[in-house]
Amino acid sequence: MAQPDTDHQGPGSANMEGELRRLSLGGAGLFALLAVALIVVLESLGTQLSVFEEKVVPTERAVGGMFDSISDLSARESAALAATAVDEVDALGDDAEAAQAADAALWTLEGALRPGQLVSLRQEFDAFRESADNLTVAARDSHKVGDAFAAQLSAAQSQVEKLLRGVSALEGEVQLRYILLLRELDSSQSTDALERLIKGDVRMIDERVGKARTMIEILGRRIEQVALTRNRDELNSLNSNELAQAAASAKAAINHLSAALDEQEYADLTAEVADVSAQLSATLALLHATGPTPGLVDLRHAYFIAGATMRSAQAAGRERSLSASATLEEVGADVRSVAEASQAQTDAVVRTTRIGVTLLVLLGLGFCAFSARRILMALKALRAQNAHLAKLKDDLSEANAHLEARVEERTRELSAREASTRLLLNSMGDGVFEANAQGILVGERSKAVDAWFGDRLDQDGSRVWNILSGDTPGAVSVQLGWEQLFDGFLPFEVAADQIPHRFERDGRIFDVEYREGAQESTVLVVVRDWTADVAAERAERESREFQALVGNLLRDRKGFEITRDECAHLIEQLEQAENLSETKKALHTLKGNTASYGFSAVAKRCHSMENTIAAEGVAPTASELAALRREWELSIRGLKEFIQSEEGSSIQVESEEVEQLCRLLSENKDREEVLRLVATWAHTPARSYLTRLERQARRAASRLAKEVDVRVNHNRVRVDSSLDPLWPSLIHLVRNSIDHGLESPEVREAEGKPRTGKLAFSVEKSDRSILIEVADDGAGIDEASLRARLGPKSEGLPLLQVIAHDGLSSKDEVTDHSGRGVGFGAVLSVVESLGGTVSVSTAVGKGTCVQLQLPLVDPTASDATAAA
Amino acid sequence: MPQLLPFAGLLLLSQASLAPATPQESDSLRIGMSTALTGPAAALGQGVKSGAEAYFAEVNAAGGIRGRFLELIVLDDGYEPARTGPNMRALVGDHDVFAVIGNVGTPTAAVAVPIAQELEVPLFGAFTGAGLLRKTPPDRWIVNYRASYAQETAAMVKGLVHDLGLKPSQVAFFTQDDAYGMAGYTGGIKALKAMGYEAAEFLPHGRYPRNTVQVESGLAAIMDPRNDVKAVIMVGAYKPCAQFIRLARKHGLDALFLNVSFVGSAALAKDLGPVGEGVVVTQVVPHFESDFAGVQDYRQLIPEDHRGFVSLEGYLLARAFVAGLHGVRGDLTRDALIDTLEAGLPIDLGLGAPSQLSSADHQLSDSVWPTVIQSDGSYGAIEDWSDLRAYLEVH
Repeated sequence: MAQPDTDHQGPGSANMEGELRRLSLGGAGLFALLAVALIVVLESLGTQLSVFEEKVVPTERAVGGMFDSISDLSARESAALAATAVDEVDALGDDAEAAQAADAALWTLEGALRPGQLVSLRQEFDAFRESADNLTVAARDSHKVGDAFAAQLSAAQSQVEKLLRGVSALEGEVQLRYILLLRELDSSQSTDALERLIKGDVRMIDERVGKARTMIEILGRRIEQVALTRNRDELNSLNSNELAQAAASAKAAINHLSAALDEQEYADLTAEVADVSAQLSATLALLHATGPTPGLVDLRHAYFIAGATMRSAQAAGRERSLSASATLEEVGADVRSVAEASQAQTDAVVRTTRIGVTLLVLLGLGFCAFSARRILMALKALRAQNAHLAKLKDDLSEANAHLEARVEERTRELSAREASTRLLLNSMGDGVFEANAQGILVGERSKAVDAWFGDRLDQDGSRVWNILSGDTPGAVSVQLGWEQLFDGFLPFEVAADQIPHRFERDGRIFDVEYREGAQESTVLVVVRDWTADVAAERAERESREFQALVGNLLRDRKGFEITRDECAHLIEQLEQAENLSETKKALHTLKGNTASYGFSAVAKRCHSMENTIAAEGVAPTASELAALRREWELSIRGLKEFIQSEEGSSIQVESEEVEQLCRLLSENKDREEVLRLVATWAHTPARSYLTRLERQARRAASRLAKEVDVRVNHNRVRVDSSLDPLWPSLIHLVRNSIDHGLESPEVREAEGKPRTGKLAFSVEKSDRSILIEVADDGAGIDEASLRARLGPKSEGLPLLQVIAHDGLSSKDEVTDHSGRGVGFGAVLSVVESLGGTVSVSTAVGKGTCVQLQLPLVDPTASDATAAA
Repeated sequence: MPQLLPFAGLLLLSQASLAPATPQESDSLRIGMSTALTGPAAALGQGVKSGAEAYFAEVNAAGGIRGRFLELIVLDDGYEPARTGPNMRALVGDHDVFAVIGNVGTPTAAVAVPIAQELEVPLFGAFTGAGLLRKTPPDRWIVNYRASYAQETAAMVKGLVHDLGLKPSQVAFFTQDDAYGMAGYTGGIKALKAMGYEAAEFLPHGRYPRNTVQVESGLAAIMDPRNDVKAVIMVGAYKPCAQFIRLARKHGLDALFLNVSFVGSAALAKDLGPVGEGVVVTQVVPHFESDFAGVQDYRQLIPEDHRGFVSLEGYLLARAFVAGLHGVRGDLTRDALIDTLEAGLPIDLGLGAPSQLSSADHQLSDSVWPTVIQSDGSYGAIEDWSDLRAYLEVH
């Protein structure tokens, strides 16, 4: 009876426990009783069984064995009686085996028998055995005698047969004699023969042979009768009467025959008769004992005696066997009575056991019924209690279910929100995470964080600084800044600003932003991957630069080529510069040229190098120069094909010039004059240089967000190549004008000027010289302040020299466009090297005009020379 | 030269044993014979045995029967029926013989015949003319070569009455007092009755006990002066018969003495000596000096001093048996042999027309050849019974 698991919950279960305990005690008591009863019964049965096994069974077996022995011996007796020959009797063997078995059985019986019984049984059995032995011996004797008798009889019979044959032979011979006598009588008819036939010996002999034959036949029958006698009386009678008579008659007949034979006349027959007589004697000798050999009759006698012995032995044996059997029966009855007593006792035990067990079972059943009733009652109480408990449990689980549903709903909401947050985070593509004051990451983080910093996130003790910065110094500065974020000493934004914002890792560039976290004591870190933007920007810039370069090249091949050569020359100058001043000049010119033609990478590098020189006052190192050269070569490499393809293969002729030629030819002008005109065509039109300057000006203006209207007045002037070094340097003037001269549109409007500034290039050719003018309507040059900045060393110097003074710039701020007097100085030095002069006229707020006066080489002469 | 012939046969045998198709000794075809090698009938047994062996040796020298040697196993029964039974069973059981041939004697046949029938073994060419081997219909397993005693005595009666011109009443019988004697006697009586002489049973008839020479009583019956006996048909063994003839002649019986073949011609002639001249013996084989092809073949095998009617019969019955074996188609079994013979297989023994058997006739030869002891003691063939008149008139 299993208790439900509520046994600690009420008085019902306690009742039940007590009930069960009492019931099991009762049951155990019953079982103990049953066990005791069983042991008692088994003990009693075991005793009976051992009595059976030790006494009854062996005794019964021994009695059976004795019976077997007796029956064996009886069977031997019967077999001996039934045997028809000595061999069969001998084949029975001796009775030792049966006797041994009987002895063994007797030993076994010894314990079970009363002493008198044992002795008498033993004696009886021995007597029985003896009589059985006697019987066997008698049987053997009887058969032996019988056999001897049969042999003797057979011998006698064959002797008789022999006798008869002999007599038959005699008969035949006598008959033949008789027939021969008849034949003699028949043939001779003599009376003598007749007398011999009637009275003679032959007839007598014939009769006596016949008589002997008859007697011998009778003897044979009598001898056969000996075997048929049934008892000694018959035998005695036969022997004394018929047999003796027959023997005597046979003897008499033979003697009678013998007497009839005349030895003379019947010699052959006499011999035969004597033979027959001897055989008869021999035959008769077989009948009765002569000496030690028993005769036929004696054997028959012995046979009868042996038979009688056998029968008496058989009778004795039977009697003794019956007696032994009777004793055995007694013993058997004793044993049976013991067995029956034991059986009765066993039955009594069984009966008692049956009643006892029945009582116990009834008691047990009653107890079970009682127990069942008690348990049922306890169960009923328990069930009621359980029902109550189940109701309580249901209520509780209902409440729980409600609560669970709420929690579940809430969890669902939260996880949905979390999922959307995560989705948001992940879809941003930025690395977003929160970290606490120790720099340890807390809460959610976007997928990008794992993608970018996954390897460091997993490391033990990984902090924000280790995560963000790959190298130790970087990490230290982040860590310092991070600590400031939390010590509350500085405002958050200020502290955040001081932490490094850009990191480069694994070829990626990350931009990092620090914001106040959602919780106190956490900081939200937003990391963006700028790599792609930077690369794209760079690529675009390069592409733009390349386009600009190609555009410049196509627009103004000559100018481009000049600038290129100039730049190459300047780089060489830089490499060979002997002092810082030369270096500065060359560097600045290079910067201006490269910037104006769109080699922005080179220009940028030049600017950077200028910064370095300005800051540290040290000339660029050889490796820096090498880097500059590499940059340059890289820049122009892409343009080589454009340059090479059309280099020196053409000259530019204006349509007006062609018209002019035509006009000259139609007016039939002097051939010299025509020649001079055409010769000038080999020179480059100034317009191409000027328009190049114009473009550069526009570009510089747009870069500075200034509006400018550039005008070019070239006057169809062609210039020869002697001025080639000049043109690139004019960029300085352009840039000075755009950068320093022209104001921003707002300033111009404020000063009452048009928004768009003006810049004019013009070239004029006289007989001896060529005049190049660059003029703007900008702010002009504040000569006084220039001189003030320059200090005492400007005293006495003309304006031109003041501007061109090294390092001077009218602008406070250094820009990549200009700002230094270096540019002006460079122009000045080129012009002077060409043997020209420079003049500057300026008015503050009105503008500046720079005029370059250059001596003109005779174009005709030079051209002619060139033509030759 | 003729003496060497058996050895020539042996030589052939040894050569054959070198030939590729050598019959295997272990696989020989065994043939049995229970006969008298000792005792009063020893001469007969020896004769039959030698004739059969000579012929088997020739067959073996020619390759045997279906590649198997013929092996003749001979057991001696001494003319005693009591020994014949065990011999027959030993031959069939222990020696596993295919058939038994050439057994000598009627009383022994009385035992052998039921055994042959029981064991289903062919008993072929027994040296006896007794009727118990010649039942109607014949026993399946009994096959005879020779004519019966009845046929012999019938031939005698015919010859005496028809050819020699005697009256049936002048014929007497002297027989052994057993089945043998009775067989011959009955044949003669039947023949006489067939001639219309109804009183044949009352003709003088002398008997003598078997294995004795007590012939006087029989002689007395025949010599009764009331009879006019001119011919005595004798069915007996040679000793009593010789004794009878001697006594009869001594006491002046002037008659022809006619013996059946079984008497043992040579022994009889020898026993009688000079008294024997004119004694007739009928034979169931031709004279061994005759010109029959089969007899010439016989003479090729048997040396001159071993020749005789008995060994010739042994030769011929062996030859007939082998012819039967050769005639079998398919598996060589006992049944197949009997079936083949009963189907009328022609068996040519070189004695004129081939013989044929059927299920109603199990006897190959019905021929009877009369012979007479000549003055030199040898046997001469009688071409015509009337030739015997000379002997009648002499006495």
